[in-house]
Amino acid sequence: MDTATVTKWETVIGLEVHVQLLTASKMYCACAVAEAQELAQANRHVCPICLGHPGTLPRPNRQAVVRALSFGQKAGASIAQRSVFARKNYFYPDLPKGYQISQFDLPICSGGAVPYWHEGEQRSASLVRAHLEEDTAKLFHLSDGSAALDYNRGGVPLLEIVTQPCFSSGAQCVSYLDELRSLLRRLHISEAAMESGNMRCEPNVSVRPAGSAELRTKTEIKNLNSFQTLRRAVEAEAQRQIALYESGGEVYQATMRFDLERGQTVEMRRKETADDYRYFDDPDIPPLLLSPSLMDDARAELRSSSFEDRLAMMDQDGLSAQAAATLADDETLHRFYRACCADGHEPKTVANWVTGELTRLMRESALHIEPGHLSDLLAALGRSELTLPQAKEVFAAVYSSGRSVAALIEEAGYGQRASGSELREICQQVIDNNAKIVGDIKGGKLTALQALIGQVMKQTRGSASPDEAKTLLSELLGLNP
Amino acid sequence: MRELLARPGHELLDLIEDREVHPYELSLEQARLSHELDSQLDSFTVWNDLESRGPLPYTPQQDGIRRFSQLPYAAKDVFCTSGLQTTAGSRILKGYIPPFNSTLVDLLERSGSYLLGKTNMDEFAMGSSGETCAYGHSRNPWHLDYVPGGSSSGSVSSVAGCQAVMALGTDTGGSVRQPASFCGVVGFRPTYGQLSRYGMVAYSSSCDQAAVFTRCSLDCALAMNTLSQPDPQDSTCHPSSSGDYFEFARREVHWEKLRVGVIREFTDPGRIDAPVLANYRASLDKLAAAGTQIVELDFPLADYCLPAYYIITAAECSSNLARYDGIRYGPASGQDELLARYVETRGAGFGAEVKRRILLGTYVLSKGYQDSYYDRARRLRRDIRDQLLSWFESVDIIATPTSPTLAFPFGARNEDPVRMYIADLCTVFVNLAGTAGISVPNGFGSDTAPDGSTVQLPTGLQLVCAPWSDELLLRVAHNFELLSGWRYTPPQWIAKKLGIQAK
Repeated sequence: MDTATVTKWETVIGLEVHVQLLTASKMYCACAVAEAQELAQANRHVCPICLGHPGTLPRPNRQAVVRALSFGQKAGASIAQRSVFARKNYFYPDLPKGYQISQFDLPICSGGAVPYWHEGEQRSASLVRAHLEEDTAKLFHLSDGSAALDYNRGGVPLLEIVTQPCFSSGAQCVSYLDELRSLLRRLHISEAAMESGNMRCEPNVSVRPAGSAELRTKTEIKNLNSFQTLRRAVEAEAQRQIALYESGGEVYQATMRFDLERGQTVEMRRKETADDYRYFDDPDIPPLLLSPSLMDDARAELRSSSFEDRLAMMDQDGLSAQAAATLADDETLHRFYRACCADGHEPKTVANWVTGELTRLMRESALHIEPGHLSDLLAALGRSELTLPQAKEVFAAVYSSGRSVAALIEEAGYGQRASGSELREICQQVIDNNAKIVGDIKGGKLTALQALIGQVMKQTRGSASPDEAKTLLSELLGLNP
Repeated sequence: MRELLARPGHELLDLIEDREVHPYELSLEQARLSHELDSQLDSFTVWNDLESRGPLPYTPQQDGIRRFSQLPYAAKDVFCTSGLQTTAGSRILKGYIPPFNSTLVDLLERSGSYLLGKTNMDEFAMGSSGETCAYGHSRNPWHLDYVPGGSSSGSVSSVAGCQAVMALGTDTGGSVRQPASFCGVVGFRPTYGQLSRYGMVAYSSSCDQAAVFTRCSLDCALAMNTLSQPDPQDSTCHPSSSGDYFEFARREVHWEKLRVGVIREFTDPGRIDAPVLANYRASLDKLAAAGTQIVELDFPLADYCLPAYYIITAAECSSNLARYDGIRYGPASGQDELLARYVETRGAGFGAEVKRRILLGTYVLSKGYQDSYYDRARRLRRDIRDQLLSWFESVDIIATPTSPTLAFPFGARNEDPVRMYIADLCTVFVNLAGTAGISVPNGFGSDTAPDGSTVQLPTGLQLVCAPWSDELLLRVAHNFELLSGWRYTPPQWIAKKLGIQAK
């Protein structure tokens, strides 16, 4: 593709995200939420209600409503004083009642936005709505060509979160989805794991001439199982549409899937006419009236989002964008950071330790220390009981043993530092044993002094002050200070 | 013991409490009689085996409230019964055995009441004669060539024919009041929300309401004391907490303080058949003679009730019946291809009337038509409810004929579905407004049977109250029975089997 076509078109994407809500029971019955990973576990959590037996009636799950409200409050959505459950009618074997109880013209949340970071920039995804509905059963395709149905999933509470067409690339979608996932997890709304199917993302993609405000025919991509696949699929679909327009063709409204091997989107089913789901208010469920107790319960789950944390670390704590991003993205690192800052340690120092030593150690072995350990270490460092190299050594020992900082400092005999005449003696030994380096220094290569300081630090097992060592070495070598 | 089986339930309860009759023995005798009579009446579709199930435990509550308990009853085949086939009168549920009880059946079981069996009904309660049932037609005990009314056809014939002391029915547009008037018993539909719908096969969720047939209004009050309980399984069930329906219904009515509304449109000889109208006027005369103030009401929306009702119920039924796909229960087609499987299963499973309403309902909900049909019908429904509420600012009770016609012979109306729908003329406004109504027998009228003979058939007076005034309605109905001197007596051929005198 030449550069002319790349600049000529722009992509417009809207996202529909379904997340299973974290609840003890299903949306309209008392069955436990537990999806079967294999056929043998199928259909264990079912009852006459979620199997759609005659005469059964739905009973909306209060916990699911609270979760939806938490999301709505966090996203600044307008929350309906009165929202209505509606029936979406269509036939499919995974839909036991022949209709899905969803929400249509009066959803629980309308509008709102989810702010997110993209390539270091702040952006915001505008939401159309977020509404409650129930999941369908799961189809297992068997080797003999037949299909088996698992109704464990049927009736699991879902929140459908719909954005405006406000993204212009697959990468932007992924940045938003990253933030959304973190928010859903932090607020205990959903496990939001795409790979386990409890978060499902369907992008609507269209392209238009760059700079134009029109919205052309869009296609919907289904069955994407990771953010990266979604990014690739969106880009491939945009390219397909651009190629179509450029060759004088037309884009038809269709549902697409992504062929991973070929890296192309493939049409699953064309939408000749708009689907007619014959929505109407479900007469079995009275309208859901917002109550103060529902709102209070939803508020109890509210906590800061990763976006907000990152912004605060940059603006208030003065951290670099990169350090703030690293800390905001990892819940553990962020917990250590917050706790140590709360103990009064300087944010930048804390951030260096957390993103440096702690991260390095966590890569080597599993974490079993508490933020208090790091805080104690920083305190000892602050009281100059340890030098920086000693502190690193102690921290590694604390990390692997889980023992207290005080105990390890005492055991290592730290706290007495090499200095004065003792240190002067060591410096002299180092000068005597490194004639070549001394020669270099005297020859004018002053940076080699650093190597001698390093030797001194090694000899003193880090207990010397590097500054004092430098002064003493310079003096002994007769260098100008 | 057989001679007792034409008596009202509350009198039988007295005998049980006085230990003059044992409840289980009474129910076994009832079951034997019901079986015998069923060769003529065909009320039942399946029987419960009382003999092998043995007597039910019963612990009376110590609150002094009389409840329907320890007596034999029948349930329309629309109520799910654990372990006992439930078909809603449809082939599509042939062989379906629910794994659970409907809430009302549970409440009756806990009250030590004996379920005799399940009764025939119009398929999915869609019909006004019992003729759309996939399993045979129940008959009118007053003349076996006549329909008992519908859709609760088997329930009404069982109570009118001494096959049960009480029967559960459902009333979506008149399906209990109309058959009660056709068969000369009491049919009571409580305010929407008084009784749980859980486990009641849905036709039109916003109009469906469980209802009862009894041999007197006091028995309805007795049943309400057992059945009107809050049910967490039904989000639309919020009973008014009336303490004791039975005690309240027994109180005297001061007729001179009662204002009874008469809807002018339902006294029109062009709409109401002569024998029905004659008995209706006679009932109003009795009320007036007792001092009741009769207030004339205008109902400009009268002609819109049936269209609004048939649009709303068809819309809801098209969705409620979508679950019958043969995948999880019920008979299924063997087709491999999904669409063919649906078409064959549902094509063979549903009868013509049900298909007609599913098609109609699908149409009125479709994009482009929903505004002009379904949405308008819902607005009309609100207007009708508002009209009804405004009437009750100036009257206490409304009285109309229950059905515009007498019972009719089998097959008389099958050619023209709209003529059949007109049977609901005077009853549907009650369902649309979500309030309570009762039909109380008010005499007999003559009809000429297809064979040329003259037949005497019952008529009913419909009484309607403001929403949630069910206890007032039952009290007025009971006092009307006293005023008119009516007491249930079975048709002669049945009285003979019981060894009692009949009129």
